[in-house]
Amino acid sequence: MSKTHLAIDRAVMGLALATTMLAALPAYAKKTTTIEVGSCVSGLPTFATISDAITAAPKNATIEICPGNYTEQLKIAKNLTLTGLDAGGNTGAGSSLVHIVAPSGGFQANATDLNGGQPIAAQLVVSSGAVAKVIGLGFDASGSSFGDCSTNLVGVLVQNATATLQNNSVLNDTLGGNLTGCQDGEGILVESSTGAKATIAGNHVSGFDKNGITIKNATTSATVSGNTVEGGGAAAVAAQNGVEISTGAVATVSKNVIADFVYGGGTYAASSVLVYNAPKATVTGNVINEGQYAIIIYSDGSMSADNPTITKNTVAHTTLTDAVEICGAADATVNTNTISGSQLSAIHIDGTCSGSGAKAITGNRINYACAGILTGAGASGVSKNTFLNTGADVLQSDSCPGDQSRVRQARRASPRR
Amino acid sequence: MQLTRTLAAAVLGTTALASLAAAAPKNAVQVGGCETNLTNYTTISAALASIPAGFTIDVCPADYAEQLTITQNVTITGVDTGAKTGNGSSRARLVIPAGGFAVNAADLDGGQPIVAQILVANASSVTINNLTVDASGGNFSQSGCATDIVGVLFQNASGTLSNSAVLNTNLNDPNLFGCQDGLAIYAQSSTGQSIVTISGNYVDGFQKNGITANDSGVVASITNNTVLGIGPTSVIGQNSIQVGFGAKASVDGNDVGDDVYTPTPVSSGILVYDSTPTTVSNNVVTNAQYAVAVVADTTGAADKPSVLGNQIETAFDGVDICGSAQGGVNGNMIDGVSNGAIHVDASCQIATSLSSATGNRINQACAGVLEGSGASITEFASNIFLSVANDVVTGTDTCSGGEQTPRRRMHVSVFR
Repeated sequence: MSKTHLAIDRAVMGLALATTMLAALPAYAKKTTTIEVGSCVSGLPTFATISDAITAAPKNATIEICPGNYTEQLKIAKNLTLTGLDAGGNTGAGSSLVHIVAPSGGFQANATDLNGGQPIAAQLVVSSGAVAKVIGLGFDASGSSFGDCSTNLVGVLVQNATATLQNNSVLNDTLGGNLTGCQDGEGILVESSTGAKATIAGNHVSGFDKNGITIKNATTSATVSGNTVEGGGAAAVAAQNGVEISTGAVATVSKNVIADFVYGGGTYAASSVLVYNAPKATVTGNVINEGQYAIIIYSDGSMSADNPTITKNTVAHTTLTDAVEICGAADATVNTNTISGSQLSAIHIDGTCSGSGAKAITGNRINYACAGILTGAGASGVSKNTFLNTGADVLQSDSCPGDQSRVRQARRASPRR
Repeated sequence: MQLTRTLAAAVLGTTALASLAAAAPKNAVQVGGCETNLTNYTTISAALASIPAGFTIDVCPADYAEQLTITQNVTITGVDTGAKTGNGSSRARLVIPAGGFAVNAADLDGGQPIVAQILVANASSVTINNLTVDASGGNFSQSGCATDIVGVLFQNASGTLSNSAVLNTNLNDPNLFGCQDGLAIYAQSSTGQSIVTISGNYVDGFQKNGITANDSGVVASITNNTVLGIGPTSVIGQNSIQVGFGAKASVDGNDVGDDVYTPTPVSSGILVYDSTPTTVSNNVVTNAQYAVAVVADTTGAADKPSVLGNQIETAFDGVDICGSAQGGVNGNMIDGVSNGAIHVDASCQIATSLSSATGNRINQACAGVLEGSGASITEFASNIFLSVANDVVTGTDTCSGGEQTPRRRMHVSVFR
């Protein structure tokens, strides 16, 4: 069987397939500016490494990458599409794993964090104003060998660029050994000083130390949709965050499945979705299982986190903190969420943080919580919620007095520095 | 009159509590005194003993230190005293009796003594809505593993359990946490048909299984429940939902996961065992070893399962079909699998086949489809493979190159 016919171009498949599974695969379509890494497609100019192909590619080219192991760190600074090929699929044995792994000499720092200057070793950097699409690649940072906390390890780093990251897997951004508490190790990081825009869809992110997906800075916008993000559960050494939107970034976080973000009883808490000092966030349609703060909107006063919209999320089992916490953010809308099993409250408009407030809390279904809704900061528009098995339905308080064994501690969210 | 009321109650059981309160049923009593114009009892058991079949018992928010035995048709529903103003509670909670738990049932399969917080037996229409059933505080150290604990037990009975919270159904002893005991919700049958609806419940802190429907005769609709295990444990192989031994079930729209037994993969998010046919659809399963397992041994069949439209994240096998014929695994999204995303498993000593495996999207797996020796798939199309090391692997039940964990011969951990 000719491999030519087996290779499926994911660039053509488009975003729709990330969420529409039943769509038939489109016919293989060869682009005029397409080059190849490996040799699973006939008739294309081929390169041995992805880096060689990136160097040689003209602007706006598509680089199709055959399944295989690639021991390289990548940097994209011009407009390109990178797409992994499926050499098997429904018609035969093969692989769809374009496995990007540690270089033989180990990871080297290849970027500097725009926030604070920490060296970053990234498996892929997209920077310098590039417009890049990265589709169907398998980033795996296992086997890193760092001696200390000084260098961050990131799967895909977008700095001052426009990126579509779709249908990738981003695994094992961990410093390993006794360094997993370093506050380093992020699956996907988007940040900017002059401007960045990212669409992050259909990716699987797991095995990181600190954050799954991080979107940072006031000149950054992003859509984070349809991803699965798996945390380390109670075994995690750092207070992890599944998706972090911070320091001015504007983002929509929708239809992701985010599970197992629990840090335990210390000063800090893990967050499945953390919006920190970032305004107008939309968090909708996510499934969040086993967390501490399932969704927290948090401003420390230095930047606004006002006007968040939190709707249609399904939240299951949160411990030690509140399922949905509004802390220092005004005019929150928290509607039609299904929140089950909150050890403290299901929704908390937190009066211990200056400036917290809500303009609508309606249509939520809350099953089992110490308190359904805590409105210590006050809240308007609390109506038509369904309370099931809640010790108290709505309390104008910041704690749940009926349950003395679960006295609130001032646990703080732990954004990555 | 009583029949009419029973039907009305069955419908109302799944709607908002405000509607129930507004309905102001005539054939109703209350426990706790939060309502007006209804005869008041101080315990639920006293109310049960005093009313004719078909009545509704409104239970006010409070703790009730009793076990319930229900043998006639009745609706028991927790009252939300804050439904209108927010100033109130919706938690009517059953807790351990002052003298400790007492055995009040025997398992219909093998006779194991059971402590049931609520036993529903030999009734045809019982609705339980918006109750918290919390087994905290039991002392089983004398009986060891010999006595089982169950939150809500249906035996040869039909009914609905909805919008409730069933919590801490375990033996409350770290030394006993490996006992195959502790079922939050359990339906079983020895005679005839038991039609059970289990919907919108929150289940947490169970020991062995969250929701279990066993035995032929049981027809279960298990929908929109939230059932998470305790996460990685070296002590017990948990299952969030089990349908076994001839029970028929539709398992739809549940949110389950955190079923991980660390020594070997045996825990399942949703386990179908010797039951046919079964629908497992539109569930979310996070972090379970077998996110969905359909398994038959040589004494039963688990044919024609439909595993449709589920979203699975982090598993050993995403969907494991073992000893089952003519199933369909279609339209699922499966991410992060260390063995097979769809495993047509030949290790169960019975021929295994799928009629269809179509429209699945698999992102990151050792094998996308793992076909054991002799297993087959008739229609295989329109699947999407992303970062799958081996799209299709045939002739083996173990994906080489992946994260391999030894499989046990009887590889799931079924409750019997």
